[in-house]
Amino acid sequence: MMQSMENASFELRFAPNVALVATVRRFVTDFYGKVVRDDDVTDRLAVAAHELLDNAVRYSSDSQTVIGIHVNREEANLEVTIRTTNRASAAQLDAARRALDEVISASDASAVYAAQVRRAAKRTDGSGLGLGRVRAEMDLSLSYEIRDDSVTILARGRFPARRVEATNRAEDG
Amino acid sequence: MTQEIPSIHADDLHAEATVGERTVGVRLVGSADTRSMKPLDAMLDRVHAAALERSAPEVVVDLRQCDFINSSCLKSFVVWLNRIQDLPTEQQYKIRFLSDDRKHWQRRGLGTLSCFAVELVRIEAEPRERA
Repeated sequence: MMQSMENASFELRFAPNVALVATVRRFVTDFYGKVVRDDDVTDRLAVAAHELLDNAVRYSSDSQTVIGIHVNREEANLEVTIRTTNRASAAQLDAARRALDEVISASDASAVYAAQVRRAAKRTDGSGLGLGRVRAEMDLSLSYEIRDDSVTILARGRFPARRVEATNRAEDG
Repeated sequence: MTQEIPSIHADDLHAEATVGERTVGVRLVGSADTRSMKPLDAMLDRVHAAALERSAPEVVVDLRQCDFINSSCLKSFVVWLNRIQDLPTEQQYKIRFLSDDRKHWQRRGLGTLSCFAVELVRIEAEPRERA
């Protein structure tokens, strides 16, 4: 784990289950709440981490998942990256690829999310909303890589760091 | 007659429903995630039935002490709204969410619900209740 005023990162390898996913979300909220001190960015990280780990629980073949979160301060912006990697069966990889392609390929994140919400109203298996939520609600871009039997999902975003700057100046003074 | 709606004490979520003569309310405290999805679905089913039975004009959902809702539980609200949309207009009722504006996910998530059912959803941002 690494932290400073300029950046803060952690990486965790574990076997996620729904209870531990909530534990990680609380940790992310607490950790980044103290380090970046920007409620809005911290909230985006926590929600996205939870949704991506929920996804990993669903698509993991051996229960081993790595999650890394990095926040870098670049001038007046906070650049955030969340990366999850897990192994999956061929069928799980296909399902993950389809879900990711639908969200990533859409030019309008809000429109595809709205369509997913309408579909979710009639779905009986899962919500199908997690990835769309990460992109549309949390305003994070998504990309992915499938290599052999593992899938890595990358969520990235850049947000103004106005409140961080104000807080840090106040403390420095 | 609607029976009393059982509260939820599921892992990180506590939820309770209140039913009056023509009023129905739900209050969520804590976090709603995959573990609480089934009990939440069951509770919202009963809340829906109670609202119809009482011809309630609205159901108030208090999220001010709710720290998180994952997409599975967000779907529970989408399904509920869709059931209201499927009713004849004269039977439809509104859902008024009480939210805490300091919880950014609430603004974003409730915005999603509002876009889905703009005719049914009202959002009131209020200060969080003090413990």
